[in-house]
Amino acid sequence: MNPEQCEFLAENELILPNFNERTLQLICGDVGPFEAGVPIVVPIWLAVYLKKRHKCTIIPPDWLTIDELNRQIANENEHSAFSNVPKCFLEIAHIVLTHAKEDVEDIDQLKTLIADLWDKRVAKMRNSEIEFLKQHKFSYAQLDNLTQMEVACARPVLSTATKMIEKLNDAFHSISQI
Amino acid sequence: MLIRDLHNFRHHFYELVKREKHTTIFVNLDVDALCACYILMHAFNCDNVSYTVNPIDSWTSLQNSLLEYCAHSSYIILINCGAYRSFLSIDLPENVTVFVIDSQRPFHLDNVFNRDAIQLLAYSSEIESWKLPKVEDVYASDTDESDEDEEDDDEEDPMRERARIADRIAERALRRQKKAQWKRNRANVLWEYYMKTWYSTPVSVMVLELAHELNKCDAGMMWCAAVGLSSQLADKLISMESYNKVCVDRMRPFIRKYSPRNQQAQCKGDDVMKISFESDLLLPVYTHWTLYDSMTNDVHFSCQSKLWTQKGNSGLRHIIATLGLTLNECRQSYSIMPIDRRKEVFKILEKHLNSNFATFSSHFGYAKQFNAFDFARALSLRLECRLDAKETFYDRFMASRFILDKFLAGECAHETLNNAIQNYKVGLKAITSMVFTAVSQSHVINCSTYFLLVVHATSDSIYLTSRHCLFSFAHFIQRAFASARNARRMEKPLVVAVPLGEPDAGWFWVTGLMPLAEYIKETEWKSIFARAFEHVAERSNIMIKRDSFDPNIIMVKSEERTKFFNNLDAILEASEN
Repeated sequence: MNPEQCEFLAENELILPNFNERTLQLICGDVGPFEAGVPIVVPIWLAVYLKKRHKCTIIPPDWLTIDELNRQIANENEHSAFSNVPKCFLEIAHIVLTHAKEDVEDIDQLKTLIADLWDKRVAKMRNSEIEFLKQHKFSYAQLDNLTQMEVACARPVLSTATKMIEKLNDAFHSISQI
Repeated sequence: MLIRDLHNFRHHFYELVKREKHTTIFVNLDVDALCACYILMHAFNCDNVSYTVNPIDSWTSLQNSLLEYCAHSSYIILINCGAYRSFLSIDLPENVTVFVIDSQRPFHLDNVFNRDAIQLLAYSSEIESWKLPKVEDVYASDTDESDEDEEDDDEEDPMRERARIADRIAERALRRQKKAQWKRNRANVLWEYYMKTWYSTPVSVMVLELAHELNKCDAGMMWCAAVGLSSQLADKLISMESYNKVCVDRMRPFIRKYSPRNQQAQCKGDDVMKISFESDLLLPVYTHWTLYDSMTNDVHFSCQSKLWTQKGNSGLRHIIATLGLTLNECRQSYSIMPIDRRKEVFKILEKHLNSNFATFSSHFGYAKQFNAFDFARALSLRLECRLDAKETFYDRFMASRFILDKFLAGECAHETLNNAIQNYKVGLKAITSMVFTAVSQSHVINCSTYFLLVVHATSDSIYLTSRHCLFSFAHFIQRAFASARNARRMEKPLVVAVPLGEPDAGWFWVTGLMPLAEYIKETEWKSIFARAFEHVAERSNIMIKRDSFDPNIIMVKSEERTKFFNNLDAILEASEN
């Protein structure tokens, strides 16, 4: 799975657009009647579609503020394991910051903070991958609080690495039997 | 029929078009129309309206395509074409409505009064200034005819019958007299109304305001409108005062909203476009060039130092020295100059030029800045000039649209735009050299009522196929010629004739400029040449082609040109008396 696919799947999360149109009715997905000025919950893909047509303003999710992100980073720094982050935070943040620039405050700082958080988690992931591969008697790992994107990034690395180890092991055994 | 004011534009034009199955948009080949079309397409995309864009460059192609497209769509939109001439000659089918958004004035009275099928968009405040004649003055009602023959009673005795016949003859004579008087009055009214042609608010600004009304406006659209407005000034269609007036009256709310200094604006990202409105120098493309090159190709500096004479170069260097700029600085590329020195140079030149000129610049982030005026110039050359014989006007239109697309997407330094600017510099140099040869070799002939310039066919005259270049050339040469000797040169109009190459070989493009004194004095630039050319052609039976959408540019056959110019002389003399 590559990052685009993760983003596509993240688009089933729900955020709030602020509609300023008269009452419309959408059939698919049961997204109810829209009323001007009344916030409503819709899927992200629909929110972006409407945003491009100047028909709504996107309200960013609660965790996408400077204070909240700073708190998350502090949390991440304290624990050596992965801390609890909002689901699909990178994908949602990317979509909102690309398409809804006018609706978000201090966009540059937010970008830096999100990148910061992502980097910390990736660093932890890399360290734990190396630790995992070093184990040659028992192999176990505990992964909580991973997001879909991190799993997708780690997957190719781990699968090629373990296949390589398997090949080396086979070679070692075949040699030691001679 | 006229649609007046923004509110009606929305309800009687946009809402109707929105609900239709398919609309066709015909666009004239000029930058203002291209920008207006872009804004309109953006609005249509937001509302999921299906449309076709068709660029056209002449009346004949408009007439042909119009009948074709009537079959597909019942709403047709014309941008910057079609208001000046009557649509009665074209047989439109019954259910078709044509909306015309045009900056050219005056509107043809047939389009204003007669047809419900033709709708013209205009602002009420402007309509009063046109002095539209009343309907009764121009069109005869049919009821006059039916009173003529009344039924007779045949039982009367001969005395009374003779009296009644005498009465009826007297009545008929009176009616004929009234009709003759009405016809004379009508001729006067039409003469007054059609005599002058001019350009009014650019269509891109009108469409921008419509988009704003529909809440579909953003910085990119404002940029398009700024480019459209600047192109009208660059093409020398409007005066500086009209330009400033539109900037102040119409563009002010947008300027405030999209300015980089706007503290309330929430998004301050690096790739968000902001547009600032600041005072600037009227030197052509100087930020992409060297100061020296820009000054040698600028009207003001060339005329001040008489660059076409042998002493011209030293004159220019003298001016530069008096201004306090070093020659090295001027000869190096402007962008290399350090920023504080740039600011000083800017102040010096601004004071020297004293032109009170302010323009729009786009900012992406904190570094890249682009001037709307230069953008309009580069785009107009790309769009209008037939440099490459294999390119059709459709290709040129698409290429210009591509440049605009890429710019708005954030790629300011895209190679197509850079190529356009390089080509513009080459074109500008070509025009300047043509002006200098014409003035130094005294190609301008003095006819009694006007000055005539017949341009020699050189490899550079291909640039004069573009309206922007043609008008820049004509204005440049008018100023250069007037600065040469006496003040009487400012009083007479100038007519320029350019020989055309393939595919119109054997024809001349002819256009006329009003006297220089008028251009300096007047705030609204109105020209009488469109009407004058028509009269000459009618009176002397010369065949001219009035195919271009700008009525001030016509095509005359080269064999007939002397006859044409003599007759033009006679007409101008008659109109002066």
